[in-house]
Amino acid sequence: MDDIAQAAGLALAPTREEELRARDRARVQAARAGHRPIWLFFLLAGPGILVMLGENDGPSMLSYATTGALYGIGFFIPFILLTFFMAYVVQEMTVRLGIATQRGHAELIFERFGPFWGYFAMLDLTIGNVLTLVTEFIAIRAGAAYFGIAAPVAVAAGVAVVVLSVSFRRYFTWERAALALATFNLLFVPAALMAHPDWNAVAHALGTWSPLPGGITAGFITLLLADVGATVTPWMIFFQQSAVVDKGMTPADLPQGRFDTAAGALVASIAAIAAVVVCVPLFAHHVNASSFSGGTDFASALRPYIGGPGAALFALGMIEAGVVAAMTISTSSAYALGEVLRSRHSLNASFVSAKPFYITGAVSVVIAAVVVLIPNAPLLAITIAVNVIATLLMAPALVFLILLANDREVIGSLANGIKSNLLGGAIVVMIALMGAAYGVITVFPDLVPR
Amino acid sequence: MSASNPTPLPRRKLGPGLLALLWALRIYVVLAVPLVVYAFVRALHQAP
Repeated sequence: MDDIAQAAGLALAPTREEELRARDRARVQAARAGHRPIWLFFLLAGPGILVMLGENDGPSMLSYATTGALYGIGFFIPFILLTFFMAYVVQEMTVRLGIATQRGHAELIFERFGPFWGYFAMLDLTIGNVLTLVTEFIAIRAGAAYFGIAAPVAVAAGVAVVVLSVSFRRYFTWERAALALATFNLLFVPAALMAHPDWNAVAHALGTWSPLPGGITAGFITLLLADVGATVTPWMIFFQQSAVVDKGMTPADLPQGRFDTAAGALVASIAAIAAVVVCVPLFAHHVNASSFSGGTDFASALRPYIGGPGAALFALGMIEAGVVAAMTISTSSAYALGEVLRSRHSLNASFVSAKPFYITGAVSVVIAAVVVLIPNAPLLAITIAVNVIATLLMAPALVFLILLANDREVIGSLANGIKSNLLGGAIVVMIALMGAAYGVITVFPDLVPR
Repeated sequence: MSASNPTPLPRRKLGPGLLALLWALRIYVVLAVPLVVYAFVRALHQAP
């Protein structure tokens, strides 16, 4: 009805969504006019921190834990910092795209490159996201199992948190709830301190990118590629651009948007490195972690070395990783579907006006939760499929990102310059090649000599 | 705004280089999709 009236040029009362966004913008403008930079950043922070901490999800934290248990402190510490720098370069482009076009990533692909790529982006993202959500609920279930919480209770609680967070129909409230939960990603830091890390070894690793026990092997390459996959994934591109738009950010907010993304990358890298460090005792005591299947295995194995509280922090961190990722990933699916179908898609919208948006988010979470609870469900196959989908399909997502970030007709003066194209292009090529290699190695492990 | 922009952007004019890139991406996707299906089926058979 609104759309018909708008098309006819009729003046309309502002929608709930517009009113709420205008209220948020008024606070931002007041903070800027009052020269209150910290308050201004507090108001504008969110998409960048959430996307980075959201990607520190269940499978990613397990990947970092495996890295620590198999390789100790060494090459992977600076390598993880590098991957988050790459993530910053990629995600910063989405901030500029969102601000300049006021459109989500899926919407831009659809409009600029046509329905084939638009529907492909949406389907690829939606299917990949639902499968990824399954792995998030596996993490929630595994973390809760350490505390003796039954799987149905843990999974139902996870669904309840995700659904409750959107039920306020307010972007700002959802974002603050997600940010509050995401701070628990830093639980890995005190857990790491309980492992009494050798700080000299950490400094040495940062300076020399060594040691690398065992040298370059198939296992090393797989873990290297998995750690890249744990830092840059397609849903991040779609989520952050849509969140920037939903938040109503303008060109004046670009410095805060960049700082938000950089802060997120820094905090997430600290949590990721902490997850590596906390598992170093397993490496030092030659505990075979290669067969560990989840957070419970790691927490139980760590207990003799970092104590009960440390192991409990690790398990809680795994639950947080799953819950926050479930919130952000389900929202990215909902945004993408709304953008491509051209239906209302905002966390500020009412349920009635944005039914497909809210239903997509809720249904994707419920499907994932149900799958996790099905006895003998092929969870291992799903986890492998998630890795392969995310890594293989990262290449198209990154190519479209670079194309759009250079599309001066839509992004104008915020388009990539020569430097950002060289840096971004190199990173995109590297991530795409590594992603494709990871996908192929996962499918054909015998291609690489053991 | 995010509530679906009333005016869609025009389609981008694609030069020969960009067209070639998009065709290469199509071929990549056509190769990648069976790989995903194969990975899933293979993992299903490997599952305990």
